[in-house]
Amino acid sequence: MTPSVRSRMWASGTAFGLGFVLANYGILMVPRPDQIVWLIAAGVIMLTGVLGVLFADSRGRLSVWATLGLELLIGFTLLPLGWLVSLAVQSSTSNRTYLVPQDSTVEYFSEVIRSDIFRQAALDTFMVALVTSLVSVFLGALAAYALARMGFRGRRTVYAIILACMFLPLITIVGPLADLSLALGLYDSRWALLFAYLALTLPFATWLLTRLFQHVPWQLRDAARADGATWGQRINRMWLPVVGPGFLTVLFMVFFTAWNFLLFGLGLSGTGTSLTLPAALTRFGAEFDDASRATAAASILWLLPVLLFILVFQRRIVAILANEKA
Amino acid sequence: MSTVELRKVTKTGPNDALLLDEISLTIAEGQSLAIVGPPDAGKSLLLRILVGLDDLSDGEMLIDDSLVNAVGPRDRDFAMVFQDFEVYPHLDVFDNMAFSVKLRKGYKKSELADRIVEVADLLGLGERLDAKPVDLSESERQRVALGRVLVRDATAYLFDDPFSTLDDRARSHVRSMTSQWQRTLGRTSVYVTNDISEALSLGDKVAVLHQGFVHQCASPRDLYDHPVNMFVASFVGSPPMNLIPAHVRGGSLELPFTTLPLNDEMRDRIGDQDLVIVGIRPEDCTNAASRDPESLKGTISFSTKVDEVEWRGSSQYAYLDFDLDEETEGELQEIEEHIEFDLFQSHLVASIGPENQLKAGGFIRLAIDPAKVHLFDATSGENLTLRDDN
Repeated sequence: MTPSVRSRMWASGTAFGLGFVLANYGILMVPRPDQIVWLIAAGVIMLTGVLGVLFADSRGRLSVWATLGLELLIGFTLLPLGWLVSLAVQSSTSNRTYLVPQDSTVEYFSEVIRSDIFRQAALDTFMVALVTSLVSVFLGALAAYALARMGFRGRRTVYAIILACMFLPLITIVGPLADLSLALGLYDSRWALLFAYLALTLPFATWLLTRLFQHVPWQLRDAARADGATWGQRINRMWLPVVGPGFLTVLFMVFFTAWNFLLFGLGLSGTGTSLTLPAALTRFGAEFDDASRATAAASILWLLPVLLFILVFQRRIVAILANEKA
Repeated sequence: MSTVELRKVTKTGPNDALLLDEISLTIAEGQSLAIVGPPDAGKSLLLRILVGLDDLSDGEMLIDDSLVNAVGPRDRDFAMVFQDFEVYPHLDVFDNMAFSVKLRKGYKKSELADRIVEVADLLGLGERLDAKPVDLSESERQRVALGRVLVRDATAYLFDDPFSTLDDRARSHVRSMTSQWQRTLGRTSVYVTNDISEALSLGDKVAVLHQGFVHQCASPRDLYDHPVNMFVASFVGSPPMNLIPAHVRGGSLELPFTTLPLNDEMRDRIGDQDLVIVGIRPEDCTNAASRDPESLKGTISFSTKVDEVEWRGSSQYAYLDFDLDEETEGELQEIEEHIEFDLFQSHLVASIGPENQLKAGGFIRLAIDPAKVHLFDATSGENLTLRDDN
């Protein structure tokens, strides 16, 4: 047996064993409606093992280890998401929640959408995230251009500080920021959130844009000038199509980072007049009869734009994060 | 088509570094000029100034006798291929070629399309008009960059090392195609290149640029036969001209391997200098044994040991090592440092017909015609044999 075949056999065995354990657990411990989910998952993993053994000697293109890892990754990610959906679409009359919905209703969605707290929070979150991302992309672009294009003294140090800012433990600055916004009379307003968000999104935007700018073919400016393009033509016919999509991706990435911030919404608003969505979710217990189902419905509404963005822009997001030419 | 003229164009960089020094060149209407020189000679900078991307610090630039110092690239209307052959990544091959023409009003869509198809076919890109730059090979991208320029109807055409990434076969094809296009349509063109043979084949005139100034601008033949100084003599030609130090001893020149008699005129020009540099092209060092004895009259011949032989099928080079005393070596090194170029070798290169059987370690009798020998001033580098021509 060559080492690669042996590794493949080990992977197949592991997959088969894992699938077998999962299937038994499903049959013995999981209530009937959900059993099918466990059995399907177990079946797929066991099948991976069987196929791995059958084709062990062929020079396949897919590694069994990688396939197994991918299957587990998908399982672990989808399970909570599936649970969230099940929570939101089942009526509370079914006394127990199953992964496989036993009935379906949109009452929680409509209840959440009609509630003031959700509307207010969604609007606040959207406004703050929008202004934050616009401001930080604009300011970040100025810094990123210098970082990507100009070889000034201390460039690496500045870049390192900006990176360090991104890893700041948020909780440490929530207290000081709350004091600060109280002193400035901004507490409990969107302004307080805006400034707090900027402290984190600005380094993030700068970092993303620096990566983007490193791959922009700047020499095109000379080519276009030599071709006789006027200032307006260079913007319209070259820079917008060449850099625009990458810029938009960064803008969205920053927007959704701000969209997801929880801590500041909690720490910087007292009464709910500037509550962000994630912070508002923590208060649903007091607002709705069936808090967990309302929270689940609100969470899905909150997640949808994020998922949509990732689906549409996935190629460019990967390019920027992997530091490749977009 | 237009005449383009530079008058004493000077460009200074940061800290007043002199990048281009009083460059005066004329590119006559429909003619081509090749600018050649070692890397960092300022060739690309000169093109950027021509096209209008960089301002000149001093001097004048004229198109058809009108001053264009302050005119922007759009109104100079030059077409330029860049060294890193920029193509627009968001446009396919067709739109890349159309880009520049579409920036101006008053073009005909169908005419433009016809021209693009024609140029693309010439460049071997006919099948690739719909391809995006990411899907093109490097050589295809370079040809697109070339095509973007060839479809235009411009004041003049500037090429910054336009064939660099093409392999030998494609290069000679695209080069002769471009040259033919330039000559039949009478396009005023400027080529920049590191490669002297490319410059000699492309330019009606060739300007040799080094250290920010033009050492000589002449027709290819003139440049080869009458180099004004040691740098041009060495740079133009491959293998380069042999430059050998010689001491003046009692009316003749003492070379490391032989002695050259001097006529009165040359003795006058050398004056009281002790050291001069003798320049001999490799093809002027001939094999005495294979020549008709009649033709050897008046030549200097000497027997010497062959240290190495390089046979290349169509040509054959013999390397003959010689030794120099330390003092001379020091002087040569000083000259090289001043000119920032490797001029001197410690061997003589002789181009011997490939049909001759030569062996390393064997002996050969070389014949040199004194009329074909150049003499250079060791301090100024000037060609002393040229003076009466000017």
